Amino acid sequence: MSTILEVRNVSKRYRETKALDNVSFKISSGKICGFVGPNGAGKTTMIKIICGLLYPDNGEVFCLGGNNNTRAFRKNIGYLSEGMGYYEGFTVYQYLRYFYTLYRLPISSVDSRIKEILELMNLSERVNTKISTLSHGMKQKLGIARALFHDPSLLIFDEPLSGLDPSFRREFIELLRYINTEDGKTIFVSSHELKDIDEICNDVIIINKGKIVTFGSIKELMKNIYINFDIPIKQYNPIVEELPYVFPEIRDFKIQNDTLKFKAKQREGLEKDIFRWLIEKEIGFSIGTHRLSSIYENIFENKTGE
Amino acid sequence: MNKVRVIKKDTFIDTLIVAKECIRRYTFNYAILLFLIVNTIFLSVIIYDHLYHITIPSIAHVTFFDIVVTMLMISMVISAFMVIAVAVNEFGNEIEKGTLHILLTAPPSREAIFFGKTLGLMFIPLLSVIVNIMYVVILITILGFPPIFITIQYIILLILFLVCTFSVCNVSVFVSLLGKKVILSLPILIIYLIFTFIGASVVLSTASAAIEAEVASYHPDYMSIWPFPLITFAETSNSLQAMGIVDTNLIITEITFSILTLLGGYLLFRRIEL
Repeated sequence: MSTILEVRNVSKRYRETKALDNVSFKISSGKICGFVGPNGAGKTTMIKIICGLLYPDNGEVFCLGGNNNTRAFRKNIGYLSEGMGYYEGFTVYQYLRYFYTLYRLPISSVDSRIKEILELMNLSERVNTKISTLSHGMKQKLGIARALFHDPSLLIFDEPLSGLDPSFRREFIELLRYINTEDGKTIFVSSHELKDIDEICNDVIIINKGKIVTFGSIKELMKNIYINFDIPIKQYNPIVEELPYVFPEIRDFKIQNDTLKFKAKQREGLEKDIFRWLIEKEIGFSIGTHRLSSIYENIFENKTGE
Repeated sequence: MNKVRVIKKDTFIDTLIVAKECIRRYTFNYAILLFLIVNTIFLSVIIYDHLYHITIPSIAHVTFFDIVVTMLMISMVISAFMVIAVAVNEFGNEIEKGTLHILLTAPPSREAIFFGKTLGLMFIPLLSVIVNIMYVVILITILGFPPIFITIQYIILLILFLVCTFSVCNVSVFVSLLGKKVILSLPILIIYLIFTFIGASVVLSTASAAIEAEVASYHPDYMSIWPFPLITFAETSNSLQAMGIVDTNLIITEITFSILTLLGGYLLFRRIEL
């Protein structure tokens, strides 16, 4: 698979703070790549450097083989910033038309393209609504419409899910999947919510304190990853002590307040096998309250030690 | 070589598009309509006042030149206010609201966005010149065609008007980019404009007498007036009226100042980090 975006040895410093420290990574085309890290990790700085809004102290960014300060690069990206960038006095139509003109797209197709993109975003009824009256979720959708309407190869979304209510969140995730699978767009999406990325992405890049902690496909990262289990049991039975011997993947096994706490190396069907064994041994447990923490949270905990 | 030519052509077309969109945007919120109405009302009042001696009945004879100078001065003040408001909105406000972030990720280069927006701002004084010319045509129908040297003087004043208002444009853009925040740049620009306006009024009311009394020894103080385009305009109109000559040094200083502020604004915009 070809590389669509390549970041080479990028560093950025804000006075005394090192925001990015020699960051390098590549993104393959046609994938959804998550960019995860806690607040202040350097995600937005990296995204702004990619988009040409900030200048790096060192390093370079390449997209589709070219440098990131060319017209061709800007024509090939769609950028959605974190809840910003809307002309509040414009209507939805005026806003999209404004950018349509800036991208020098054929003016004869402006109306049909705007109609098409608003239908995709489920915003057709809002075409003449003033942006100032739209909700946060709708503005985010409009932002995606603006980022998408000129048919770019790479979409860069900075914290697109922050501040969205659960229903908009779900709709948004479905939309990103649709854009990726149906239109074949590469999406680079940042978030500090590991759960969001877990649901959307094929690949992930984890950043902390300006340094890349790890990057790669989920399958690769799942190797050597331990998942935390908290399984409350109804009554203590000494047989549960055999669990770590039955499943060699388990480590740090302990029983605390009638709860089985352990870590287990990730493999397919592991949870089912453990639950099946507990049922066979007639150990009552509460499946509804068992906590299986997210894969990404574990990657993050393991790699950053946080 | 061919690639460079393509980039230059792209930048040029993008500049024009950004300028057009800038004009469209302030036309959307009827700011331009308000500007035209205010301009028209003021110019009508001035013509009426000068012709029928309402506020200054003691002056029996008002010349064509007096009326056009006052008209241009008033238009310059109105244009300057409009230019400042639009410049602060186009640069400071866009930085604050984050719309400039999005604009900078669109295909037009930073050069095209900066010069496009500045060009869009310069449309305001151009519009003002058109309104002024329309009023001069009305004046000619009332007072008759002025002598040829007065016409030449009027054309010189029109050019100077554009130079001075472009200066205000460039200063406004520079301060907006330097301040980055509307709350910082807008008061600075308004104070600047008020000082300029007061200075120009003082020059207009006192310098004429000084010129008449001591024509040969009259020299404007360039260094004290170069950042204030309205004062340059007032000084030049005085020397034109009193001596019939144009102080080229003054105009060159004003043009240099205008170019320097434009360049300063461009350098700031090129390196701006959002």
